[in-house]
Amino acid sequence: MPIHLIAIGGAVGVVTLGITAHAALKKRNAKKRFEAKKEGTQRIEEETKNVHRDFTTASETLGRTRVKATETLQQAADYLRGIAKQYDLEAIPEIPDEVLAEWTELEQDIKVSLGVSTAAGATSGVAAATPSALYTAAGLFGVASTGTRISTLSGAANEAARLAWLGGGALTSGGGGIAAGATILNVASRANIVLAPIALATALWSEKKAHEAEQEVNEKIGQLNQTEAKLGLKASTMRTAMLRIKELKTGIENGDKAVQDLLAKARALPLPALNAPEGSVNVPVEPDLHLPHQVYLGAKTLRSLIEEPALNSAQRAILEQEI
Amino acid sequence: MTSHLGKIIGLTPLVESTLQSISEMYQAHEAAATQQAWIQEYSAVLTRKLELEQEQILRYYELRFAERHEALQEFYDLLHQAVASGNNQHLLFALQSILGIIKLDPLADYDQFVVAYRDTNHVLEI
Repeated sequence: MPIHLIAIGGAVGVVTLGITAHAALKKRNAKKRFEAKKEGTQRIEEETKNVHRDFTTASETLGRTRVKATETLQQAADYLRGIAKQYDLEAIPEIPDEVLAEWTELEQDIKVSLGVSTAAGATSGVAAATPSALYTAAGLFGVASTGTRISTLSGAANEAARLAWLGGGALTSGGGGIAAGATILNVASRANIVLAPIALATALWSEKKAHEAEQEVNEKIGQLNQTEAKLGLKASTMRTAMLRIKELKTGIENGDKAVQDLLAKARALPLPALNAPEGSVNVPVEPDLHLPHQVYLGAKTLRSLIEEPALNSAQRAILEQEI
Repeated sequence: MTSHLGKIIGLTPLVESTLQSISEMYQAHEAAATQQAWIQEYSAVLTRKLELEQEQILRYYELRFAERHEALQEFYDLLHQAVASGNNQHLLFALQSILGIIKLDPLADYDQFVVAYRDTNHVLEI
């Protein structure tokens, strides 16, 4: 057996072995880096889901506060109409009847203004919604749709599953490569030098694939970085929106309490006489509409507070953004 | 024997070139490993930066809302006092003030604020 052929075969075998081992190492490191990144993204995704849960709860609470305040408005409208009726007036001066009519329809108004029922006949759809979802929508807008999107984020973060080459099978090819290298040495020792270049070519191909895998991991990590940034912005938007929700809720609660107190006070007082007392010389006595006017002012402000949106268009755009 | 020795000596350049290839491969691996480590480090830094950014944005708005809350709380107190006392002027003033503050949404410029915050050349006026 010619010794130089054995030496050449051995040298090619060593190089082949080195290349194959290097390719396997590259893949293993790439997998490790990707797994670490994926874990980080999943953690952020989990945090965002928790924030979303709190955000939904806060929205629902605001919705309940709004609906409760609407009932107070209806009571105020009933009271003010009752006063007008007792004095045989079309309407109390400075208190337009159309405003009172609007208050009685406010529950419907809220649904429409919050986008719960925008199409004709959609009211039945609202009625069919679960109370919780209805209140959440009353608090904000279609949060459920945002929730769905967030819930699908797992898919984006788990894109690793699509990287078939990252599976155990693909990575174990490193072991196979080493075995192949050993085989090449064996073959070379038998002076079957023809097979050595084939083995070398296979090793180089393996190295090329490992490089491609590495590049793909870098790309995927870049995508996960973007996903993290978007998730971060969503979480941040929801956290800040919760500050506004809390502010609105407190405002409506205080306005509601004020109107309730004014109504209680007004109802407790006897209505002032409209006619002049006996003995007076045709001096008409104006009814004291001081309290009804206060009820009206309080209810009008409460109406404006109820209408105030919890989210502005910029926040909505961020929350509706696809991940 | 002499001919075998001659052949082995003749193979020296091949051995040297093999060693050279292995050395170059090792260097290439080192360089690639450094680059990958950098990418990994950069990614971790980016994640932390985002977390810090969120915390800072939230902190900024918490302060803004806290200021508003203080002012609003005073007007709520005034409102309830006015209801109890029947003071029409105070009632009107409290209602208008509450509505005035709440109508001004501090988050109206939220998207612009986030962009400005990320722009390192932008000086935030807090």
